[in-house]
Amino acid sequence: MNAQFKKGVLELIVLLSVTGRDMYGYELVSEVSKVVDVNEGTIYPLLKRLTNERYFETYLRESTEGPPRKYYHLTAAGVLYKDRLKEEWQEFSSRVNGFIKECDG
Amino acid sequence: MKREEFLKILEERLQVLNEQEREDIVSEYRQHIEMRMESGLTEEDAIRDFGDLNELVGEILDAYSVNPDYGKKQGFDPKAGAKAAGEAVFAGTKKAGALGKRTAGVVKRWILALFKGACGLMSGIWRGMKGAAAAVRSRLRRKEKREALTAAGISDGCGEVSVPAVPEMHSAEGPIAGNGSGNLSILPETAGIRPGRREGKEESSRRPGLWLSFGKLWRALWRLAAACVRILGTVFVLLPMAAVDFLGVVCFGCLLVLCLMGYPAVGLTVGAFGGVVSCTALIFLVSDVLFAGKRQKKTAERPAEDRLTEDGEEETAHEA
Repeated sequence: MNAQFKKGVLELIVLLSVTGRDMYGYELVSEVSKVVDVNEGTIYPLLKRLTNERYFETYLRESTEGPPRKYYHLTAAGVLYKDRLKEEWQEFSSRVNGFIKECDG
Repeated sequence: MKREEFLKILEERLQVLNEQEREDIVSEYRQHIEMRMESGLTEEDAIRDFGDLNELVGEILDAYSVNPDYGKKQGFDPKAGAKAAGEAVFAGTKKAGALGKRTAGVVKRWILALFKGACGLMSGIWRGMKGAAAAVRSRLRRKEKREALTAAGISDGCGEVSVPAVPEMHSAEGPIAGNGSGNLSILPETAGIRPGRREGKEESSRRPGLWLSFGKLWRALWRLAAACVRILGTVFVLLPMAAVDFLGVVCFGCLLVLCLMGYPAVGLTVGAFGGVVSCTALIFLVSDVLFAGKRQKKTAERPAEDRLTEDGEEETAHEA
């Protein structure tokens, strides 16, 4: 799979994953990996960046299975950003699909 | 790669981040690796899944808007960096030293030339005065002798008169001729000891009181002036320069510490070091000019100055 494709859409997928409920790092990585097969190494830096840009909030929650886990929560700004990205993706992908049909058809 | 090794390298490469963040990141990765291992993966595989370590670090740093190349071993290794800086510094100081030497040489030569000029002028004046005095003296003596002889009334005394008169005149008029041989013929007689030369001076001068005291006065004035220049020079030039030099050393030390702590301050450090070195060189130059001026005078100005009769020190120094 083209690396650039994956890279481009990763942010959107990460943001979408956290919409339903807060997740911790490992959980988030597994969720995203179901959709797009990326290097786990790239997800954590992305989470870091989104946190630094205030789209995520993080907090620690005690866990029964080991050390406290860091949970990621989507902020209001994060929600707005996610919606914008979703719109942009839908517009972009429809244009690309349209163009493919044109060329093939 | 093993987990601990991976985490250690990660921590090292993230030094630029603040401690809290760094710990945060490292612990998150540690947790992730542990969970992957729990779900069945081997340590190596879990770590391999992270991909290239350099890229990983680059992306993490990118999240903090830090240049992803910051802290890469190829880019900045404290030891290699320090070594390169040291070599650059030595090359620079060698060049600075050569330039400094040349400049110092030029400056010294200028100052010495000026000094020689002044001394030559003084010696010329001195000689002129001596010559004038000697001429006057010899004329007076001739007059006296003639008067004495005519009073005694001896006619063939003229011949005798002329003979003793000639050597006397010769010795008295040597300075008037002003040639080197004439002068040097006086000096060997009086060489070495000040009292001896003073006697020689007295011999050639029948008016010891006036000329001697004038010479002493001149010498005293000259030495006073030199001492004044030395004191002023030290206070107004050397001390501020020494203070600036010390400040430069302090700055260099601080910059060196910053440099080794990882800040990109190699250039400033080299600059500070260069500043310290050149300041020190300037201090030495100035103190040379001011203080070893005495010794300089002696060794470098012997040809100009052995005509000048004021330097008993010079001659005694020669002996020593």
